[in-house]
Amino acid sequence: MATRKAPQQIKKEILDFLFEGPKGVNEIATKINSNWPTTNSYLEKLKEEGAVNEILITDKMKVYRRTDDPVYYSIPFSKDIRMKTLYILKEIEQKWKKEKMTKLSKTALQKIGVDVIKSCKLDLPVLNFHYGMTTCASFDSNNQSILSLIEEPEDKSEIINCIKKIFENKKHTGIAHEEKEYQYKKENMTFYSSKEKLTRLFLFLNKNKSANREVNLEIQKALLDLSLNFPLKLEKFYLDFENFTSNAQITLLNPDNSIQNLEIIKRTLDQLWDKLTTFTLFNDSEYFIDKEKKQLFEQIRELNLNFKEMDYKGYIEELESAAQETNPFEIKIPQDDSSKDIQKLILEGLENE
Amino acid sequence: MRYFLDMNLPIYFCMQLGNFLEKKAKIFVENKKEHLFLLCDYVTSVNLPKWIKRQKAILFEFNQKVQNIDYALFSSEQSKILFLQDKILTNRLILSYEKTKEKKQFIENINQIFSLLQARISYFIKKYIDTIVIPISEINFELKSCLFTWLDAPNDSDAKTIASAIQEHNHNKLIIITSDKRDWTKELLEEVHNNSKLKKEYPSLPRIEYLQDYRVS
Repeated sequence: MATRKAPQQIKKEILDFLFEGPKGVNEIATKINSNWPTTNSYLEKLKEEGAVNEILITDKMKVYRRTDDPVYYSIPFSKDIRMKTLYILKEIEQKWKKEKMTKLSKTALQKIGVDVIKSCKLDLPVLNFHYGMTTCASFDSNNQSILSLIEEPEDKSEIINCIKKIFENKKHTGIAHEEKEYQYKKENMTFYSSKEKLTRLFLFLNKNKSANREVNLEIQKALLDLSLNFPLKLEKFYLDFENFTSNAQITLLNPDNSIQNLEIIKRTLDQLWDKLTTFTLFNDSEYFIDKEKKQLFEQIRELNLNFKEMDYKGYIEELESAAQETNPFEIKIPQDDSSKDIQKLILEGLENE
Repeated sequence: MRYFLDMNLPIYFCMQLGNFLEKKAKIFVENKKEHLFLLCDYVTSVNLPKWIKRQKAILFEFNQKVQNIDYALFSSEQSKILFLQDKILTNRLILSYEKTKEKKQFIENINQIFSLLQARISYFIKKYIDTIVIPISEINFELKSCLFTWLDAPNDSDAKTIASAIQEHNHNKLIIITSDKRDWTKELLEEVHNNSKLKKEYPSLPRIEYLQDYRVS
């Protein structure tokens, strides 16, 4: 006679299954060998407990995920990808702790993880995200529930050897900003380096709380550097980006620019960066998505990119307003020879309209 | 007096080169006083934004090329909106950059000028334009087609802008001000009266004044 499963056991089965990625109610029902209403009621209970939430709701389906899903945006990578990536991160963190007697920052852990994946040519996603290249998951050694689910992969020894080699070359310091710099330089990520420079300037500003001409100039230069390094692969966002940089430049060129305006520039840049790097994260992920999960992947992508777009709109409008407080005719166009050449050429173009 | 402005005038006004037409545009605007300045909806909603967008694409191409010598000019999606004259301008900007010794300064200048130009045009419209006239949807197709046919170099933008001026003049008299002596001519406007239907509809035609000849009255 089949024994009836206890509710706690069913909930655990659901959570363990969701560790493999977001799932629809039907998929979960099949897995736990139950019907739709019962499964749905368990999911509702888990939702009340804060253990799961809906990632997608349409007329036809509901898709759930664990609230502690370690994969960014709960992108539906295969179980193998999730497991292997988390295994690598876990091993790196443990080895670091053992050898260096310190805890690795999340950024540093990601940078070493990426190095392991790339050096050993492991077929795992490396994604361009907010702080450069990352693996597809974030690792939290305090989450016992996740830790207990990480299985050893078949190519465990190869991975361990790889981690060993990366540790031996002593290129990693474990310090977040140094790890970022190391990766940006190694991978020739000039757009990220320029953004990092700007971030530091804004941090400096935050500490000093005073806007002065020198800081304005430094930010202007860093913004120009960011424009020059704008990557072709983000071209579809160029007009947004240009709108941001030109409004920021106008605000910065105002000799009476205030600290408040600099904060508006910073906030807008952060939102824009979030939008751009969320786009690249999904783009880089696409290749690794199994055919049967493509539709779900596209829905998650669309949802998140739309959210980012909505968030960004509010910020850019605020920056535009700040820029409009400046009379652009009070800002003088440089009067050197190159400036004259440029204007002359623009006017010649205009005359040929 | 009500002046109907051609698109080029605000752009000349926004420059800081000191050339003849820029100076004339500045004198014209500075003497606005009680005069009213009009721009048509087609210019503010379509033609100027399109021109600005093309300038942004030119800047994009320039920045990509100076940053990466291997970048194939006009290979971006942006560049698809560029006209032949825009591509010539891009190439000339790059040639100018290659010739200059002050490369860093050139890059700073070009980025600053393109940003400022856009901001100045928006500011100009807000500060100096009194009325935006003739919604695009109300441009008389027959009138526009007639102008398009007789323009020396057939150009849809010019035809729509001049049609807007003639239609607005029909409501309330105005003077067209332009620097385009080749295309915006009295003879072109008179072609409208060679069409009996249009002549009946638009019995009076606006006068054209050229920025080159502008004198403070």
